[in-house]
Amino acid sequence: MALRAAPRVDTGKHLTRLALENFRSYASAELTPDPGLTVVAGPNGIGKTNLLEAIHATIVGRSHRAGVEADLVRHGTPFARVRLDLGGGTGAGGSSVELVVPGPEPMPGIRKRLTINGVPRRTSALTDVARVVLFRPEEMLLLVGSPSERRRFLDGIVGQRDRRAARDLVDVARVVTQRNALLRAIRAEEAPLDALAFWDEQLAQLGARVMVARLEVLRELNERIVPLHDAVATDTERGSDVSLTYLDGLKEAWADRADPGERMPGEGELAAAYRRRIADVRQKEAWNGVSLVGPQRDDLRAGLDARDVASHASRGQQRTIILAMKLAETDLLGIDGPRPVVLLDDVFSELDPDRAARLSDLIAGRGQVIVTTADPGTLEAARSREAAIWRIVDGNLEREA
Amino acid sequence: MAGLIAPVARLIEEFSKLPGIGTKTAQRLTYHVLRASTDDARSLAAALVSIKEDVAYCSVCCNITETGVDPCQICSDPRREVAHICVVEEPLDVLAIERTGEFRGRYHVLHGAISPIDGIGPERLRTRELMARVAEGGIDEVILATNPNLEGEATAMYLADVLGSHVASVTRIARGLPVGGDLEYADDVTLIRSLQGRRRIER
Ligand SMILES: [Zn+2]
Repeated sequence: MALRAAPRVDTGKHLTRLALENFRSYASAELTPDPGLTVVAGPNGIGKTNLLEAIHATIVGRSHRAGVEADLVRHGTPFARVRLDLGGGTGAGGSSVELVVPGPEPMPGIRKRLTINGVPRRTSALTDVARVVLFRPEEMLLLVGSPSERRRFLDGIVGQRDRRAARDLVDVARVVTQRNALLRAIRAEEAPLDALAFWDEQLAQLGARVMVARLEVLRELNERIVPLHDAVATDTERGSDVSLTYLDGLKEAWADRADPGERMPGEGELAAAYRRRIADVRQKEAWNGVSLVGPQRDDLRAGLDARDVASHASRGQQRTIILAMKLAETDLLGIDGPRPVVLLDDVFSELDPDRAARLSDLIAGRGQVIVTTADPGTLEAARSREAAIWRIVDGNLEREA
Repeated sequence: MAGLIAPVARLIEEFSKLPGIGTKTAQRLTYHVLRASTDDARSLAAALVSIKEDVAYCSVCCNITETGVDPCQICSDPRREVAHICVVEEPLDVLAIERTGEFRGRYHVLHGAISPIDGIGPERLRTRELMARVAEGGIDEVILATNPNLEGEATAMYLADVLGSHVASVTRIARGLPVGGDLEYADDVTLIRSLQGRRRIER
């Protein structure tokens, strides 16, 4: 296995320190990652993923796996604290980001709070300070799993690149929740149909903005994915055409337009399409008590040489495409903001040795990487390549000399 | 709970009914009260009872008022402009706007905002009372100062719709307030600006 540390060039700002207090399994822990490759090794179930979760949740504003936020707090303690120090690079001055999450029984005055250099900020303010790519083993099923996973993949990029889009994603989720509650009330004849007007218009406007942002990300992913696919691919897979398509429920003809330039509808055009579509399904929505139109129902499809990947590609082919998608995500986040910290949660164990070797070569050139592994082979490979190795011993993090 | 005598268990149970208070905090508060002087305990109990017995709702603006003081202080102040009504979600929002000294009319407190997930439609808010005030006539302007979040906007939109034909001018306080924030946490300058920059609602 070829895990390779990044060349020691200027990698821009990177994570210099992660400090945890009462976060999940950790009472108190500190990790000072390498600007290149850091490996956190240890058996499964010992808290490796918790470290990556802490970094990811602090940068994107919510955990990728906690059902309720209070789950992040160590049992019996009032709150969890995560602190990320970012520094190094050529830019002057570092940044310090701190997230406080209250537990199930918080002390008075403890609320969820994010601060950047001591000043309370919204998560969206982080787009200029830190970005992150999290690669989870479950994502190996991205192309055959539920549509919500694919929306999460797209929205993870959208939300980190653009503050307004990050807010729109939160707002549109709230609009859909409120609208669904109202539709249930309408079905139960507890509210009039015209009470929908406000929520319909919000859904049309926010839905259009979210879709424009997603389409733009998709366009930029498509620009990059073919060469990245070739770089990860096996000899037989190389040279294929890979493309990602957005599936919306608007029943408009954009997708069939011959000129790709025209296939990208504008915000106004989309909002109008949403209004039409919402009016079409209104009666059906009232019967079902659920919103049938909106970005919360859209999907992403991958094509390999014009065939649908989910139904036609082998597991190996799917994995190659998914790795290319994650590499494209990494590149896309880095072009207009701080280069992302790449977090690989035990993904090498999911890959055959050849693909794993190519992935580690490709990822090493892309800045700071933190890898968790339970696999002795991965660890041996990393040890021979000047990676910083950390272990979890009795709930504490220790750096291997 | 085993080993707990009845009066202690009872107070713990009462405290844990309060929002944000779990069993552990309720226990801490209970033993704190137990250690405090009898006078302090009596004073706490009296304050709790008084908030129900001595607080009423103003028959004009629906804000909270002291029992026996109806209309409330603001509504009975002859210097206040009767033709202007500022509609807010909560009593604390009245205090926030009063702090600015920018508004010289009277208020209407809705006691909430439209929120379908909480089962709150317009009929659960003090909208009927507002319509009755407006129907009596003499109102030139209604300023909708609900929170600048989705629920506040939904409420403002609803009110603009139903008030439109009855009032010469229905305005909405300007954005500039932090989006997603609550009125009571806004600083005074932001509030003054948003009152000055209020706009007519397009329907
Ligand atoms: Zn009053």
